[in-house]
Amino acid sequence: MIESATSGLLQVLSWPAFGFLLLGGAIGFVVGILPGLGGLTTLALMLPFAYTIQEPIAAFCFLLGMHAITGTTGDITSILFGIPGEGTSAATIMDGYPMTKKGQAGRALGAALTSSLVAGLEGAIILAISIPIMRPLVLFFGAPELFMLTILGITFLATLSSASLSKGVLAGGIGLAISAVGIEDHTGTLRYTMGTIYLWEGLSLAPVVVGLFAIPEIVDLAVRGSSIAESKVERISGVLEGVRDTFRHFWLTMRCGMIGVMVGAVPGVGGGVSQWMAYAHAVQSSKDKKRFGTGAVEGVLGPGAANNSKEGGNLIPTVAFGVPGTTGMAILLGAFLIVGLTPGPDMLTKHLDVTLAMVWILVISNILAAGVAFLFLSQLVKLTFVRGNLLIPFLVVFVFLGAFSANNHFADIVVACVFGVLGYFMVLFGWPRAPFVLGLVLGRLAERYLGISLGAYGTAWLLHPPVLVMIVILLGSVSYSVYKRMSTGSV
Amino acid sequence: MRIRPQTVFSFLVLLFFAVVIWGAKDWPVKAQLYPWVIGIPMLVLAAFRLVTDLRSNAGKGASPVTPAESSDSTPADIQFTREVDPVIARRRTVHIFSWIFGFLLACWLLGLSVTIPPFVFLYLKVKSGEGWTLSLVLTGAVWLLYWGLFDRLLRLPFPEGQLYLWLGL
Amino acid sequence: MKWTSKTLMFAAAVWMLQGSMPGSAEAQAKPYYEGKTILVIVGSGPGAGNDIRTRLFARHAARHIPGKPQLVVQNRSGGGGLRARNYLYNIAKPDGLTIAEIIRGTGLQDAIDEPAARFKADKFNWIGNLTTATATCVGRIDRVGANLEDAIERSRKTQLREGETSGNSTGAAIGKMLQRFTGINTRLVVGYQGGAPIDLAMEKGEVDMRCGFVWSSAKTRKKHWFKRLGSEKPFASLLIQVATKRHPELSDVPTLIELAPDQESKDVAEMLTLTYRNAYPMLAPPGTPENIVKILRDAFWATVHDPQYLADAKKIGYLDDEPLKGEDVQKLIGKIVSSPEKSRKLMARIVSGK
Repeated sequence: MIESATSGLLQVLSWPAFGFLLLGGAIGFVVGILPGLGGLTTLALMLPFAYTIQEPIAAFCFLLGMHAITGTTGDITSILFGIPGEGTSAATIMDGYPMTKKGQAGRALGAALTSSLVAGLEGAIILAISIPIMRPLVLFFGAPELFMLTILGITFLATLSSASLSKGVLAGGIGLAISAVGIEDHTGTLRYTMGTIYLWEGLSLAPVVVGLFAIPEIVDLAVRGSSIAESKVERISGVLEGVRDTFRHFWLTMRCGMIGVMVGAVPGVGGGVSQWMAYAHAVQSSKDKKRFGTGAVEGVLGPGAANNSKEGGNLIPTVAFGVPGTTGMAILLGAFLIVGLTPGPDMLTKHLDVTLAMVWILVISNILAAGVAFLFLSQLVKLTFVRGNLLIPFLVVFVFLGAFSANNHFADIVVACVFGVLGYFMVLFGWPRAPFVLGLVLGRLAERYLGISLGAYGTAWLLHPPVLVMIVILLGSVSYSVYKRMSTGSV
Repeated sequence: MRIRPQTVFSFLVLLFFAVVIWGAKDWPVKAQLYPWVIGIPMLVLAAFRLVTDLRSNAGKGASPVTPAESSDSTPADIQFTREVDPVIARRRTVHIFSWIFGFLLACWLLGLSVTIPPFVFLYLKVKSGEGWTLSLVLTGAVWLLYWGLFDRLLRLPFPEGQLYLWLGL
Repeated sequence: MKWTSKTLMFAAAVWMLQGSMPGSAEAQAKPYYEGKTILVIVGSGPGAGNDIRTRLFARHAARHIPGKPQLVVQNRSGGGGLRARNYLYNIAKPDGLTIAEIIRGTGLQDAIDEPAARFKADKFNWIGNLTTATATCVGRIDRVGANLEDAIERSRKTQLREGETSGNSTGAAIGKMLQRFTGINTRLVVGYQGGAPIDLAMEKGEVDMRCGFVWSSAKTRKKHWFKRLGSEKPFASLLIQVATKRHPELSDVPTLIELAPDQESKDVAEMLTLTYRNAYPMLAPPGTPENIVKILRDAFWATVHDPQYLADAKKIGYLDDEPLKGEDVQKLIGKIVSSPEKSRKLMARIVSGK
């Protein structure tokens, strides 16, 4: 193993592989920062270069390096402009953008990048450690266990409803209900598709999230008539404060990183869930929940950490079984085949050096991304002091392009605008948006895994030992939080 | 009794779940189960929510809800600014939504390529009252980014305007 | 502002005019495709098997088209290819500058009168088919035994669980026909997000078998599953194959058509088999001028025999492709849509998922 690790590292650092890592990283950096420019579109566009590169490790340096960095820099846009740079980096907005408005953009970015780096390294290390147990681990999680995981995620709805439980749960319920849109798996029934083919596969996360979060922010910016940052209280030295925050809340960062790895390793769950679960955990583990949404640095650290570490987790089922967890990984899987590698047992024996090289690529690209981002931070932060009136047309155009590039469909822009209006009224009337998104991403999964569990095992799956353990945990945590709410009276 | 806007919103949420349940009434059981399992309890909860809203409307003294419930100042999400006069704020909100939806309509009718530059330019020049130079330079920048990156490099299939299809061009 | 948009509209009009005159005198003087860009629409999302395949094709095709145009690939996924089909039929200009690769099913959707299908499958101009997939049903050896007879026998005692993406997928249709033809006792477990997750579910023991498993992909991804591919501890066995004639390597495995007990069953089995055979077809909008269709068909055929293309294809695991000529795809589609009405109705019932 040590031998393969060394060999993997040397291959990554050799020429031209390292050159490709720098090139891919540079592209990923720009793509991640530009709101509206999807990492997936770019990844698909760059995939054919794998034919030209031929050498497996060099090809992964290029593609995986690009993919990993896109996630990191996507958070920058979320924090600075309140527009998700990627569909998966929306949770960072919740507290990152309020921090920017308070003039603490530097601190928020410092926290997001450092937690991203720390957790990215954590994810890489877990990936390396799990290599010997990777296959049994993935095989252990059947549909019943995954169903219980989604239910656990859904109970986070309540956690994210700090102000009013009924509003939060209802917001989550709207998300759950909307996730039913599309073709039903068993009977082929078209649910709520309103006579369009567009809705057959349900609503895509990216346009919904972009509209829901970005449009209310644009409206607020127009109403205030000022720059994004309301006060110039802070100099760029705030970045260091953000770095310190990461270590002040080191264990939170590590736990959220862990959540990212675990959720990322579940095939089919997708990148959207892990960040929200991490955010929910950050809220849940805080003593003063009311600070969240107003610029609590923990609310940046949590999703920041998960956003990067999930890549390590994502690679587990992709490498071990050829089952990609996300669309990004599906494209990378294409790269596996192009360079002549077959995901599966061979990746953990014969081609172990390649697998470990991927770990190194994650590590090195994360360090590079953080390093380069820190160099540019002061320039980027200046943008938040630009007059809002100058920024608004840019932001609107980017929202439209970002929504469109999710599926190359004009209807996605309409969806973004519709959910923009919904998001506006939710904020106006104090209905939390986070449970809504969580319901949207988890509802379909819960239904699907329940369907598979019932189809495969009838009701016997309820007696699987891991399921029983999870039921106990679930009941315990729910009754604890109900008890706490009863005692504080915020129903 | 005056109905507050948030009460209307709560009512719309109730209506939403009613539609979710009603829409599923003719489906096979397997397709129906999920919308109903979610929809029915949520309908009940939405009704509870609406009643709470109405009661907090009726009179402060009789209201059983906690302060956290009735005042909307407890953060669970971001808060809109409160420093701008409500009348001006409302006018600006209507304006920006009109711009966004006007842009959407124009994109649909004329296509994104044709709509983006005039939208950016008009917003800067007319809405924000910026100078000619700045407006033109920024419009050029957006156009370059759009055209170079999204159109030429990424080749996103932006649809042509609906108007051209109607006119048979 | 007026100036800007007018100029743009003028430019757009000029551009559209240029695009709409393929047969003009100028075009005949030099190759039609010189300096042009062909848009290749893929009816699936990025990263799907047919997407990777089409991008590979696009990389090599330009060399074989007179005038060496640029080929650009765009994804338009939605409705299992339905969105791309409707677009290509109703909106795309028939000028040879927009073509598509849309995964199997165009003919079938037309034949069963899918309400959302707004196209006539045989009116498309078919350019060729990148690969003819031999689909199979595979099962865990410890649950289904060594072959179909074993599986039928064992299913009498314990019902077999068949994993599929959805109740109305073509894979599920194979399973339902198998049930109908042989009386094998199976039930569907649906909701998986593609073939690879079903394979994984088989390894987990969550399901016992699946249909629609493409044999050529087994040779690259699942060598360790099969005895006939040299595995010492085989995991799976093959029950049937979906092919017009038995694959040379699977001469002991019956085809779905062979199992059909009567003519009507044979008809539906054939419709499904032809649908699988036309796995990754390329097509152009109806009304594309004949000379351009010919250029595209010739270029297709030359590309799929190009040694560099073949070397790349082999690398990503496409070993026995047996591509089809455009003319042959056209006939195949014609055969699917002109199946007897009775069998088309039966087919509609089978794939409706009910």
